Amino acid sequence: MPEVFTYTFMQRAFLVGNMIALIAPLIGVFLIMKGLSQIGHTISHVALAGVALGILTGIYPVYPAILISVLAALVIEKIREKISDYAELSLSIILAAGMGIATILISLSDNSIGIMSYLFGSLTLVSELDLMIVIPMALIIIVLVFLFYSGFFYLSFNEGDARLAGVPVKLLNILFMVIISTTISLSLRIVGGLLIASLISIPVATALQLARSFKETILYSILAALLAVDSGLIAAYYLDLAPGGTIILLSVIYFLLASGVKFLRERKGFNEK
Amino acid sequence: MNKMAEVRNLYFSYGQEPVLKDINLGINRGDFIVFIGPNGSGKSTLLKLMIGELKPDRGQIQLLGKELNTLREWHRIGYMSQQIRNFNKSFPATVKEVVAAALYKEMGLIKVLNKRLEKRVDEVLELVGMEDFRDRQIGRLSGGQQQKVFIARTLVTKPELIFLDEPLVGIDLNSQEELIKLLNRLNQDLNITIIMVAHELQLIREAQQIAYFNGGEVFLYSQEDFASIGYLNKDILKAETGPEIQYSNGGDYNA
Repeated sequence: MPEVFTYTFMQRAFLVGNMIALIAPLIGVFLIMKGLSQIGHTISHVALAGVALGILTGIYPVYPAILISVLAALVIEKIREKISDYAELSLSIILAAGMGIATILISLSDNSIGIMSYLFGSLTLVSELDLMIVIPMALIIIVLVFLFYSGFFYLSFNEGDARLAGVPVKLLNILFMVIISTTISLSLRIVGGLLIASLISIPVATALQLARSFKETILYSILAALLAVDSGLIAAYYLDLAPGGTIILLSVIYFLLASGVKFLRERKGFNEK
Repeated sequence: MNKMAEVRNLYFSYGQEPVLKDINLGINRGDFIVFIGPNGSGKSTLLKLMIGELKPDRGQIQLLGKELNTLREWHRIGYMSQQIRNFNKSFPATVKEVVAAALYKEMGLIKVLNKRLEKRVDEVLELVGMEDFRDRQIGRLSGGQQQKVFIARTLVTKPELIFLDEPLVGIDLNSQEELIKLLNRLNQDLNITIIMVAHELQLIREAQQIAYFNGGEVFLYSQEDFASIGYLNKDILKAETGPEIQYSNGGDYNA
């Protein structure tokens, strides 16, 4: 067995990383197609305020991260529903507020290493407790998306038409926001708060280059994320790099490769015509 | 129950500006009615009020004999908005996926497509002549083909009453003719009641009734009465403010 798989901390990192690679792009597809990728950035910054609060008070940081990011997500959803014209501006304000609170709480705490691991991701710090939380939560998220698959699909395609088709728009939007915030909070450990939004969006962009249907888009984006996370963790281990950055840079490379394949495919199609 | 839609003493305004004043309209099963009139005369507004997308200032609207807020059978009603084709063209969904989404209510606990519903999707695509396109991405189809897919999506829940807001806009002439034939078939063969906003002459000619909107009021004509006014001889497509019609000939509708 290669050395990278023999250490318990790496086994934990792979387990958590692969669960995140399943759920981040899964919800990312719906988020991107709704045109709401900015929400991922905003919630991840707000989640950091939760992490800082957890470190400061000695509570397991993922819990306050989930709580605060879910609350922020519900506020965002309310704003999006009521004043869609300024939705983007509201997101910037909430992002800034989240980051501001996080910075103040971090400055009050003397555990800067702890917070750094949540900013940039960490391999060595993935704990048993992380496993116990991430795996069941990720499974619940997968089941929820599967259960409401068509509803989420219709909401991404056209919210107004979805309402007429009897899709419980409000309920599913709220559920979706809770799922996004939870996913982001769970992902902080491996990818870090500053980069998780990229793991939600880049694999989807990669899949969009190749997929011919919505289902294929979901499948390919999960494959792209799994590939990025696994190759990223291996590279980060052997080259002693920050795992978050390595994973994201590799996803960008896979995106460029997929774009190249698309270009060649289209040129071939054009020549055949 | 023969009455499919009824509007009584309806008032609506955008802010201070009144758009519809004391509108009364009754639509029976199997009717094919076209709303016409100048821009801003409230045609699309009335459609949106009738499907509950807008709330009236005053007055009542009933669909299938029920007030909108008590109506549960929305699957019996179809609506195609004017903006229906303003979707993200790079959305990766196939024709089948888009049509199937409308079956949400019928999907059971797990919201995915089963064999029975898949068959329904195939049937409705065949009805609109798009069965060969089921696995194609919707954003890559022509305007006319997309419109047929959206009609299929509107029909997949087997509605008895459909609302269409300018379904022919932005579509080439050949596709327009095909769509008109299709709408006629839906109305005559499947007895679907059609309420539609349109300004294309060839479509107006197909309708049994014409509701003319002007100055916040609605005047209802049968196809014969309307033709006798000579309105159809005018080039309404070029008209900025709508045709001048003598209303004194009894066209005003009272429920």
